[in-house]
Amino acid sequence: MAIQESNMNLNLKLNPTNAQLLAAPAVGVLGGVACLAVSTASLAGAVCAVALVGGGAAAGWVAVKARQSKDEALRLYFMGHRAFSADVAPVWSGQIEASRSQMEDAIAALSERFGGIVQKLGQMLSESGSGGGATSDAAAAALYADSQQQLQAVVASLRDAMQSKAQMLDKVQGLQIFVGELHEMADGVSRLAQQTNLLAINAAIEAAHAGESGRGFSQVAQEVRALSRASGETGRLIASKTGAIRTAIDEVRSVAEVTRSQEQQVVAVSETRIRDVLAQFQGLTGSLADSAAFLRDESAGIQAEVNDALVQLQFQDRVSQVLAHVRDNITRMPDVMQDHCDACERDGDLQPLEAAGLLKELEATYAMASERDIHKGPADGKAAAPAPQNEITFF
Amino acid sequence: MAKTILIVDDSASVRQVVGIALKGAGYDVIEGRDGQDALTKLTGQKVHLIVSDVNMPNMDGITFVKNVKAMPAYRFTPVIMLTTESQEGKKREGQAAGAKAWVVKPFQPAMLLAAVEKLVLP
Repeated sequence: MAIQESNMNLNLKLNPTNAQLLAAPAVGVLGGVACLAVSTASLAGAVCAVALVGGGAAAGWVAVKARQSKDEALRLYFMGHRAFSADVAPVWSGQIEASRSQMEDAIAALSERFGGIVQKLGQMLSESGSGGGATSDAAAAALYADSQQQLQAVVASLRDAMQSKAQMLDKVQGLQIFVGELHEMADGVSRLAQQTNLLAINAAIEAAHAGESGRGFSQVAQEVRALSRASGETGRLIASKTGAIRTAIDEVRSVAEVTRSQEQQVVAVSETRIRDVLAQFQGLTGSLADSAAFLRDESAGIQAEVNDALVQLQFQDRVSQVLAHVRDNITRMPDVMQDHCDACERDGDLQPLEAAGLLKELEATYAMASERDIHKGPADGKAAAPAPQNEITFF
Repeated sequence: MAKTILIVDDSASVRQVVGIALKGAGYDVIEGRDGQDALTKLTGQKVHLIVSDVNMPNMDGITFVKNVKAMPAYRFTPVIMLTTESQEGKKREGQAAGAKAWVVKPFQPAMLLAAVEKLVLP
């Protein structure tokens, strides 16, 4: 405002009028005529009149020269103004446009890269996202349960086999009773054979006492003795075989006892190992699930951060618009300066250079409230209003 | 089949941000650099919604919307104006041209998506 007021005071006439240029010669001529009249055409009066007219002419010549010099100075002045704005404005606007363009290209490239990151993270999250993660966790749990079931079935089969073997051994053990009975029966046969033999001996003795009449009875007694010996031999043979069977059964039993103990140990060790392996497997799947969940959470966090960065990059659009408005306004400056100089030359006045027209043109291009606030200047020390956030209007 | 949305903005970064938000929500996206360019992109396309800037070179957003509404195939296509402009006068111009919503930049993608979901053609 102070500059405009001072410009108003500079509203000066560019050139003196012809009357002003003729004033000095006219005064000289009038003075000369007056001298001639007063001196009644004396020599002194004539000399004085010539001196006055000459002085007036000289003053007029000086005034004309001064005007020509001033015209030239003003011409150079206006030419300088036009050249100044014509030279400066393209450079200023060019620099602004180059910066705006570089920033736009850089931000667009940055946005594209961020966009690629967001897209890749999105794909990864959709593939192993909350739904996919639950499926993998469920699959791991199902695999664990299936493995546990199958391995426990193996152990159960081993236990069944051991049980069957134990039952078989019990039955084999039960045979020992029958073997014992057989042994006793063999002993009985041997005792009967022995008693029969004694009876046969007694019968032979009695037959001998009977003489000729007991001869046939004696032969019968001999046969009975032969049969009793054979029966005794058979009884001993049976006893021997049952003893062998008993020994064999005892050996089988003792061997079975040893292997049963070993098998129990093997089953116990297998169970322990299966339990350990399953526990490790469960731990592994659990830690994998935890890692996957952690990665999912981290990826979602990074995606949100990048999305937020993309939102923040919208500042480029706002800055670009402001720079474009200023650039366009600067490119208008040479024309404004030209018009101003033309007006001054046309009117013969040094007019103040008004910024209002150019500023009005600039104001007409504004799109943002912040631009208008800055244009108005700080009001009561208040800063320009921040850019509106999330403003939406439905029609 | 995914619905198609036309994004019209002279700022590549804004097109990028809007595109990411819409693609992430399952929409297909086509882009126009300004109103004039966007009109050529519309030809032969089934577009379910348009998101357009206002201040653009060659053809501004308001003129673009007027042109779109004059095309029988897109007379009922909803338009969301996405702009730094927040003056009531400009909003009224947008409404008169046929826009259905006015979103001021900078915007949150979630908010724009909510507006899109509300207005997009079935």
